[in-house]
Amino acid sequence: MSASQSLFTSLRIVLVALVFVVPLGAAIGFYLARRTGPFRAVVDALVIVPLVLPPSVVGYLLLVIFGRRGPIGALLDDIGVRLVFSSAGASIAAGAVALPLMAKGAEAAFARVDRALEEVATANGLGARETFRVVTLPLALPGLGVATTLAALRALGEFGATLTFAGYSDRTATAPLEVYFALQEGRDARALALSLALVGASVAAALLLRRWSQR
Amino acid sequence: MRAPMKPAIFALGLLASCKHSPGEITVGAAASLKESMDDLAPRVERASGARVHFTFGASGDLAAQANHGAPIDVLAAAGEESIDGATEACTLAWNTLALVKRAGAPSVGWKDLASTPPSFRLAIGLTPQVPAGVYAEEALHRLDAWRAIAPHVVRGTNVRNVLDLVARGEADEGIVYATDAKIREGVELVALVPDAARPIVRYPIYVAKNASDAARAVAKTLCDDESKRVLVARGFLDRAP
Repeated sequence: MSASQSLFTSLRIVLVALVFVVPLGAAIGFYLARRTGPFRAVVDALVIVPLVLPPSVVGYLLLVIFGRRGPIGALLDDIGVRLVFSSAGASIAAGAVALPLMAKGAEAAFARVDRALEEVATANGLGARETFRVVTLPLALPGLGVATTLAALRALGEFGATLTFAGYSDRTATAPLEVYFALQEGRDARALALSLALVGASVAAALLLRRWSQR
Repeated sequence: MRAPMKPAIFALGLLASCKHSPGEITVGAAASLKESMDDLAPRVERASGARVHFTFGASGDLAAQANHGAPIDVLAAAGEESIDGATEACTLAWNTLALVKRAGAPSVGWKDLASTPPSFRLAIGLTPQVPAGVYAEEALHRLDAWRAIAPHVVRGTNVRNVLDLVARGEADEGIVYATDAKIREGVELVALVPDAARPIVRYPIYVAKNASDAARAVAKTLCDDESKRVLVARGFLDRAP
């Protein structure tokens, strides 16, 4: 497989992961920003677990749950879906480690929204859904952009959980995995080219983050 | 000494303790040698008078690490590897390939690999760095089954990872060494590789360029008759099959 192909594989896997991670993470973040109580504390603790665990542990736990003989993996296998060695599996691994960044970032974004402005909207007759759409979401948007960018970068950089859970195959050969295996095969030029591409992506994202956070 | 210097000195001490000291030897060994090396370790350490660290992995990965400057003094590989300036001390043992399946799963033999159902997955080692994968491809070519089975192949990052994929049911069958076939609960032998397709699986011992006397002593111990006996007890062969 060519080096550029692995970048496309990475991009596809990250985008699929983000389709699930962004709404789910934003919802968790909204919940964390607005609720109190013991259940909130549990969610708050659980959501950062994939961020602080070693990626190999995340990968192993995914394998135990979503592997062909795991509780969910066995059900999926019955309908012909196998996640190990598939790009969906790689997206799950990338999504699992990216979700905490999205959720915590979204929590911060929603927490910064001035509740007084929402109250004004409500006082002017807007319903809860309308208020969220017209007031809350636009105000939280820069923060959500930051969270999405961080989550995307973490998903792009995913290595350990992907290798442990999704394995190394033509469908799961992301750029970080290719760097590692190119190095093992002594193909330093390829490893270097991919590394520089990933450095470029990180710098571009950092510049993007600056713009958002300056708003 | 002024107090603020203390953490810095401590940090330097930590760094220094990471340095590869002459009294320490690192032996890289093929994943398939794990148990055998565990058996050999005490005697190897005694003979060399040094602290011996073992690192296990795909032979090709270990060789690449050595070529990138990893301090591997002795390498016990599962096949021929080229390491800059290293010399071969001896052949530790020989092995042969085995087709394995998950316990209780239907058995697909070597000859049947050319005509498997669409969902069938065969796990073999990643090539070129996992010798077991290279040997497996060689055998499948000789059986004229490679072209048919290639789309069903999934890769393990070392031979024990191949075994794990079979044990977890992520692959229906896998090609590992005969010595790996019995060590994992839940994995059963289907059949050893047919004679006509059998590759020569040899474990050379390499000694790094400018190796210390202790490292040479490690290699010498690995090459002696007692080591051969240990390997044979683990199911390896003491001559080419």
